[in-house]
Amino acid sequence: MSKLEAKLYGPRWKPFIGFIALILALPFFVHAPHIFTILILIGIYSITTVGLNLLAGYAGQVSLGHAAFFAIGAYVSGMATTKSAISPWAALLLAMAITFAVAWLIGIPILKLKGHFLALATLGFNIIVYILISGLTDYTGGALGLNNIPALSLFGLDLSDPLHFYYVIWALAALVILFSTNIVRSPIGRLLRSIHDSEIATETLGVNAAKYKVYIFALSASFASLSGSMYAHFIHFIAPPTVNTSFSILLLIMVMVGGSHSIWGAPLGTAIIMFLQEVIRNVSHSYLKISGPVEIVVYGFVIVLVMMFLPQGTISLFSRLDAAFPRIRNKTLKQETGG
Amino acid sequence: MKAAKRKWLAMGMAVAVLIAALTACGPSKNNSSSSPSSSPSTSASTEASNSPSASPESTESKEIKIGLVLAETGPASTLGLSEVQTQKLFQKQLDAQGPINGTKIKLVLQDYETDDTKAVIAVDRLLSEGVVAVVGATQVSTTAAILPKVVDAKLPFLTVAPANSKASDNVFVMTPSSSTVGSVVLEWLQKHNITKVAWINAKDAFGVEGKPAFEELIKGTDIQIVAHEEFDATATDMTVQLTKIKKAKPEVVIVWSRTPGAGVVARNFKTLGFDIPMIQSTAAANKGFLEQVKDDNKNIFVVGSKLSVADKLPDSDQKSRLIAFRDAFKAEFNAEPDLFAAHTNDALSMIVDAVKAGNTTSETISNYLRTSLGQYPGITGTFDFAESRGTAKADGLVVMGIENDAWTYNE
Repeated sequence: MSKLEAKLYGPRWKPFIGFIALILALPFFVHAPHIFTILILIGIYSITTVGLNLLAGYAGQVSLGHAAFFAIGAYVSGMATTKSAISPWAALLLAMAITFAVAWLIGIPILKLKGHFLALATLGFNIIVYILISGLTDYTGGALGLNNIPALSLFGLDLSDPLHFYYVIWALAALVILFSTNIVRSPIGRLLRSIHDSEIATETLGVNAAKYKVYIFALSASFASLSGSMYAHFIHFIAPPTVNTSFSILLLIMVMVGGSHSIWGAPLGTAIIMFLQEVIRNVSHSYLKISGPVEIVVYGFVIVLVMMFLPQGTISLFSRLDAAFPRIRNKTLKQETGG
Repeated sequence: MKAAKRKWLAMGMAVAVLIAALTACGPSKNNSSSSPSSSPSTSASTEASNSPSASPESTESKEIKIGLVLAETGPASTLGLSEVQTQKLFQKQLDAQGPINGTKIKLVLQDYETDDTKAVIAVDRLLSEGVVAVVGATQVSTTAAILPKVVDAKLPFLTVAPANSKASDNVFVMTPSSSTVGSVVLEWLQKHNITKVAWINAKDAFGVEGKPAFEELIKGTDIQIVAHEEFDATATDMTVQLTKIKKAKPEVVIVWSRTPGAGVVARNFKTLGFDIPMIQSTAAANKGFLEQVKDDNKNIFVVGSKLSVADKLPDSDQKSRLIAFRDAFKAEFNAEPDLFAAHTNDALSMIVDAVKAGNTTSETISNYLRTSLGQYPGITGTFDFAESRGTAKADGLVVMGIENDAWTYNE
């Protein structure tokens, strides 16, 4: 059975253990604060992209509006903690609940749309949220943004220290990833895949596809909300331009580059895009002396390359590497079946 | 065969990406003096003191770094560009001048690409380079976004956009506040006996700040706002808002917006055939705006820096100071400096002043700016941080008109 599972979904614990080891080890090697900040941002964004991956990769529903859910999380957390004495963690859960409810409600009509229409509807939702947060100045601070969002603390641990925040955000990301791999391996996960491949075929099996689509949409939105809240507490500031539609598109690019067919593609893609931004900056500014929106051009180029040579995303390189070294694979397979 | 080839290509690509990522991870390479030994958990202030520049032992000419976070690219680059140019000019002047009391000053520029999150990363990068002061950011919201980080690191933060100077003793604002700019507008209105004004502003951080400040100023006067409209900062047509304003029959339209929005309003204003004056905030006092309203700019006034009309000023210390800066800027870039250039130049000059007085650490520079700077004659205007760290005085501002597509000024 476990052999079949490994064949179907790939190894389960091997990447997870590798991932944990990497997360624990990185602070010992990374000393520059800005790289550390980027690692934290990768953790924050990964939570959103994992959710987006469930939605886009597994259920096949493209969302161009995830920045809106990120925004709801960031703003609910920000408003609750700056304007009332509510605990930041309670605010974070409240934000997730609100986002889940909002996504559920708009998901019911929106997910009846397919393909481009769905993408457009979610894009529209993002614009609506953007206008609301820019316009409701009394509550959101409008264009001036929300200032002085307090730092988090966990059981007396002060998370304004970047190292502490790093471990907490990646622990959260690990939980989200674990939860998501569980979903993927559950009957619901198989249903989502079948919706992805053919919604009609799935419905002929007597399954209410719409229900599962809405469910996964709302779940994915609440992940985005969680990461939005963490962003607000990390940066201590949130303003509307951070959550405009180009951020939604960037999130989708992260998922595509990483690989939408595996949960692990999301954090990988997020890391690639975030570091790519750094590389582009360094190369174009310091060496080529070009300034301007070079990134967009490079993103486009990277997407074309990935689509041409790695349609399954960068994550598929790992399985290819696995295939290229059969001895290691056999060994680990043996271990897994034995254990 | 084909599949195998494809596989290798893909692998090669991945390796290339990996290498590229690794080079980016290395300790910041454009500067040799960052301190890679400090752990990430140590706070930024200790990093600053770890860096060789701050250690008094280093012999001969030591170097201190001043960080700048400016929008060289992205939508805010219309404002950020002249700030970046000022930084380049200033560095050139510093290099020509040689070390000050044995201290070399290096300006480290970070382009934040009009993205708040990138600005936060940029500040981290500056902290790891051990800068002793931070100058930035081009936009109001970005300044608010990086403020906590700079304040936490206990660095003097000289903002070139309006900011909350009450957040910390180390925040110094180089711009005239909305209230200061508003007072210049008010004076102009009173001089022209105008009482009914219409107000239109962009819905961005700069735009929304003006009206509350102005309302505070006109309390007790006979001036009233008869119409108020807002537009999206990136909108390309404001005729709807202006049409509504027209109905209220104001005697002047006041615009509070950055460019390009400011220029779009002005063009629409002309298209709709308004025969009343329009007065724009300091955010429109740049070349981009002049180009936007080219050939059709009668009755458009802008609160700008005296810098733009320096030749027409009566002789004074201020005049010669402004002309010296303008000529240096013009010689370097063949362009007129604007207010944003003035803010950046003032910030850098103040820090250099502090260094001249023998202050080379963030703490002593901050202290100097707070207590010993006195009445500082800047390009933006006079600064008196003992009175307020939140604004420059209005003596550097003037209401300008446009004549032959150039700024003009009639007393």
